[in-house]
Amino acid sequence: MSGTPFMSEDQVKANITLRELFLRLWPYCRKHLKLCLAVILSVAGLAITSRILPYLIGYAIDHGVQEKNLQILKSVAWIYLAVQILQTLFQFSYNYIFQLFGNRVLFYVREDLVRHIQSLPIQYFNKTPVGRIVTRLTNDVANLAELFTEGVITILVEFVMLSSILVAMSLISWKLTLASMGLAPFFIWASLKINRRLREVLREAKKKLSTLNSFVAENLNGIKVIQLYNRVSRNRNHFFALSDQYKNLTLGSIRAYALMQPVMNLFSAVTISSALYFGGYFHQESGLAIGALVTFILHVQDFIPPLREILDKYQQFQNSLTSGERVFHVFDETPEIQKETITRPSQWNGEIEIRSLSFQYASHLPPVLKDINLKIAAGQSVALVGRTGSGKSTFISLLQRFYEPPENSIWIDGLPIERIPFSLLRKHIGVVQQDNFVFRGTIASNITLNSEGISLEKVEKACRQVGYWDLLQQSGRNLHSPVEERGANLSVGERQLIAFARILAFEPDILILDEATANIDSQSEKIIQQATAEVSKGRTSLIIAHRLSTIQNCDLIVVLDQGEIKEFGNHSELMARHGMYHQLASAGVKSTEI
Amino acid sequence: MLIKGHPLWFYIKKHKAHFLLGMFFLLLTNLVDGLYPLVIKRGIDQIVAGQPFSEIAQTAVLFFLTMSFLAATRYCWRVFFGRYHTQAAEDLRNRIFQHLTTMGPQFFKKNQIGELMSLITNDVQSFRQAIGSGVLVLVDGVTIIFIVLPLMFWLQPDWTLKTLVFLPLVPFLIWKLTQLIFSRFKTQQDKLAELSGFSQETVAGIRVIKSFAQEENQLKAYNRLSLVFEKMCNRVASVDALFGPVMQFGIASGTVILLFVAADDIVSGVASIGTFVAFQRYIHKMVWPMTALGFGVSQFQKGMASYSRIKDVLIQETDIPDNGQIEIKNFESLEVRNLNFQFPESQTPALKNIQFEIKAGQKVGLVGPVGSGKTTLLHLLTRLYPAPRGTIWVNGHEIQDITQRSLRLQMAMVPQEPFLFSDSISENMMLGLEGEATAEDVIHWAQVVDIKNEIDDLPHQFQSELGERGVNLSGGQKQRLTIARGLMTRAPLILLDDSLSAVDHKTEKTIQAQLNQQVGTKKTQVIVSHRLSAVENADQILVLNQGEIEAIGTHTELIQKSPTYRRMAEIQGYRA
Repeated sequence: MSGTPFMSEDQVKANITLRELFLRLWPYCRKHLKLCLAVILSVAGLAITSRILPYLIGYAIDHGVQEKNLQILKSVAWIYLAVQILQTLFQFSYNYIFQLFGNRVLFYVREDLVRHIQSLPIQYFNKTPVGRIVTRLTNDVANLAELFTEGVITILVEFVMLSSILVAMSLISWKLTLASMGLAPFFIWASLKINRRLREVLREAKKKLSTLNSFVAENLNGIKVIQLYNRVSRNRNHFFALSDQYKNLTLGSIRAYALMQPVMNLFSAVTISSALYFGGYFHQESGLAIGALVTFILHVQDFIPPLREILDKYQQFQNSLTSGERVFHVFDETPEIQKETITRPSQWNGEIEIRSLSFQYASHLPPVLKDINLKIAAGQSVALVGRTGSGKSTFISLLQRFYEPPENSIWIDGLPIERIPFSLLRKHIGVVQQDNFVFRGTIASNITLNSEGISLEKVEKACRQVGYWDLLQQSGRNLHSPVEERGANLSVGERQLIAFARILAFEPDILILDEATANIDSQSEKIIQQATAEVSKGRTSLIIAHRLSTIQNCDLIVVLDQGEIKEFGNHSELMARHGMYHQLASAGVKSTEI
Repeated sequence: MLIKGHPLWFYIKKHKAHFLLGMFFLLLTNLVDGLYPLVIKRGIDQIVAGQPFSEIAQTAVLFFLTMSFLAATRYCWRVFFGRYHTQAAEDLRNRIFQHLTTMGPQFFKKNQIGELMSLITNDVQSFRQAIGSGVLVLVDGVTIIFIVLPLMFWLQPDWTLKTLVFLPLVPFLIWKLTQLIFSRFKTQQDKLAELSGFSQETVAGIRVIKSFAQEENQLKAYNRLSLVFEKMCNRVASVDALFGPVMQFGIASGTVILLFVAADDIVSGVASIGTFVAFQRYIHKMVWPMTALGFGVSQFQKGMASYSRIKDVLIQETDIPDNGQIEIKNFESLEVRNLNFQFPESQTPALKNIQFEIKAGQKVGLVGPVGSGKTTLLHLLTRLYPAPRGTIWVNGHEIQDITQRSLRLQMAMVPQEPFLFSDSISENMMLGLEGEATAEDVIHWAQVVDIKNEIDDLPHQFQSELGERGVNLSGGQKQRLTIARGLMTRAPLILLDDSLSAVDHKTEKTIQAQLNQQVGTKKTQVIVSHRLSAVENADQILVLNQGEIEAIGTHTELIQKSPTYRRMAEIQGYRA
């Protein structure tokens, strides 16, 4: 787990090692050894053909030109053409297969990450903003893939190319190779230095840009407040300052980048001039053929591009390492724990028993629930009443096992819930939340949640039962009408009805209903009242109730206060007692809600 | 704010010195770079001719000096040219921001904030690339052609035409490929957006997914999208992988032809081996300009498309121009006469024939069903929306004639949705102040809105940071903070737009009691609320219904004469 959740993300430096990276990604690569092999073959082909071409030129000079043999020259030209075609083919296949391979690996990583994220406990989603998790799934995974293909693989490939050039040069003359490449380590060192500087500036610039962006986003989102509170000119000046700092960092990166190319130029200057110098010397002293010398110079000229590529990619590599690390952090989060001793109830009735349940979110936090004992018979409806912070929501989360309750404290149909598999447990407990999330898609897909086992007839029936069907027909829509992102084209009431219809479609034995407090118009209010009665029919229902009418209809009312059960009974019993319930209920008369 | 004329000329003129110096060094670089193969030729020919070693050594040194010179000029053009386009980008960025902050809220309803953001980030960047590397690549390409081509002709005129015969195909192919990859890339991005949207929903709706144990189904659906995206990536890859071979094709075809063409001349001694080597280098050099033409044009086009998006925004004028001259000092009165208002995109008027007056020190309630025009009215009174002339008068002046600053110093509105900035709690509370407030002041107003105890429980109390990287407050807490922020401005007129809707009943009562005690008649209050308890003791209550004032009066008067008010009162448990 990442230790500093609030630390700015761009500031985190990656400490992941190459080895670790490779080990983490290898399982995904192994799934497609064929593509992997094809890449290796193309690279080998590319390296070999690329070295043959300069050799052919040299051969033409030594044997064609020097010996004035036109025939040799012509046949060399034909061979050159053939090798050239081969080389182009290898280049294409390497580029193409290589990307295919990367895309496949990316697919597997994405799949695994989504599966893993879905298995994480709800606490993870409470403490991590949605945007951050989505970034892991999108940008960071993309960066990770790039890191792998562009980074690890490209560096390996270009390294192969460099080695092949060095070998080809040494075959001509190892002495000349040593003489002309003598200063190579110095230049590589220098460019690494500049590269590091470049990386730092780029990192700074990126950080500044994200500050600038979030400043703009906030100012545009809060434009009313900015204008109403006379902040416009002050905020403009702040923006100009940020913009100027960003410009200066960009200029810094341009300067660092501008240094890179000259260093490479000097490197090629030194190698080629020493090749000329020593080549001329060896030609006179030890009879180095002129064609071989030309071949040598052509090799030298091919040496620079792969080297530059490695340095460039190395830098990218560093930038994406943080992304990779972030993705791995998500993978390292522990999924919800599934106990080993799992069983399933012989029969689902929906009977709930709570035995001295106490709960605290963390050992240093005060307990949220204290010694709760409660027995709910199958089919009973129970209203949970209490002020904000009395423990109602925690109680319900525990029932769904979104948090881990102490062992043997919650029993469903005679089994402690920690021994029932998650999927089974949650299939038998249906939830209607205050603000129900709807997905982009259709009304039907939101009710079935894309579950194949639920027929359209069943969906229609559910809609009729909760009173949504008429509403749809009146507005000229049907089950296949689109639902926009976040249900932007649906009213609060409609989203509620969809959640009700979900319950009827999935037919859970236990219903948990968190009644909405939001103000809705009186017509929808009435429909929802009826729908509430409809969905709780024949199910054990636990309702966090705010409306007096809902509470009155329940078989049992449980009043929670500071994590304890203060009172319980039915409406008239509790009113007669003149205790906390009476107080809450009377205060609610004027505001229609508790 | 709008740039006159073509933005390219505008910025070249603006940063003349840097642009010209950059160009000068670029030309110098290309010129010298064009000459260096001749130095190699000289070296090889010297070796072949068996000239003394000292001559060869001289050539090697000459070569080294040439390359060092090139290194220096290359550095110079990059730095100077970089200054020109980086400064231009900054200028454009600032213009956009400045312009956006003059626009009223109606503009932001019409334009999505995400899209406006992308103007400042993506479009400015792509414009910078157009006038920077786009222009550069074109100039670079053209000058290289004009330098290298004559040299090739001078070296071997009849080789030149034959070896370069396929070269004009390169820019054409590159251009085609760029177009192809661009359209494929767009589909790929669309698919990526779909995939990201799906991820977003999976994470945001995780409670529903888990509650209904739908993880497997969700993963299947995700994989379907993921697979489509992969296919699109592969389609891009198939084009992308062609770029290398196409450029290679230029060099390769040239060299193959050279081998055939040069053979006779070299064997017969008309041309030297050095000439052959130098010529092959020149063919190499001609490929980049050809590629550059293809790239440069498409980059320039893309940047200009970005610029036209920017221009579309810069050209729109604000509906609330700050042209007033009158400075008002102390709020005395606010009068609305015969105000009609209609949103441009709407068919029906939002407000009809509104007429009322508020005197300093009064408490005014504003009630009515959802969509009756309450918020619109407050936006007009604070000049976030443009009112027609002659309808709103503050202290006897028309609202358009008053400077926005002095107007807003007199009125503090607390908008419906609480908006806080990622800054500390105390900074957020002091947002409307031009100076600093004392710590006591901050604590005092936090007590007035009944939030002090909750702030004290936070890890850094009033210094706690809000937002993504800080603490997350509940809707009710945010509302209370924004009220404190409004009260702290010391503006004599405060307008609360249903600002306690997310606060529970008990807390609301506490705050109202505090407000009456602390603010009382010291401030003029305009209170919009759905709960009548918030307005029942107001001096006058306006009942809005479908954009019209149904009635004005006190609580008891309205129960008698306003049906809308009466119904609200009944639902909320008041006895008639």
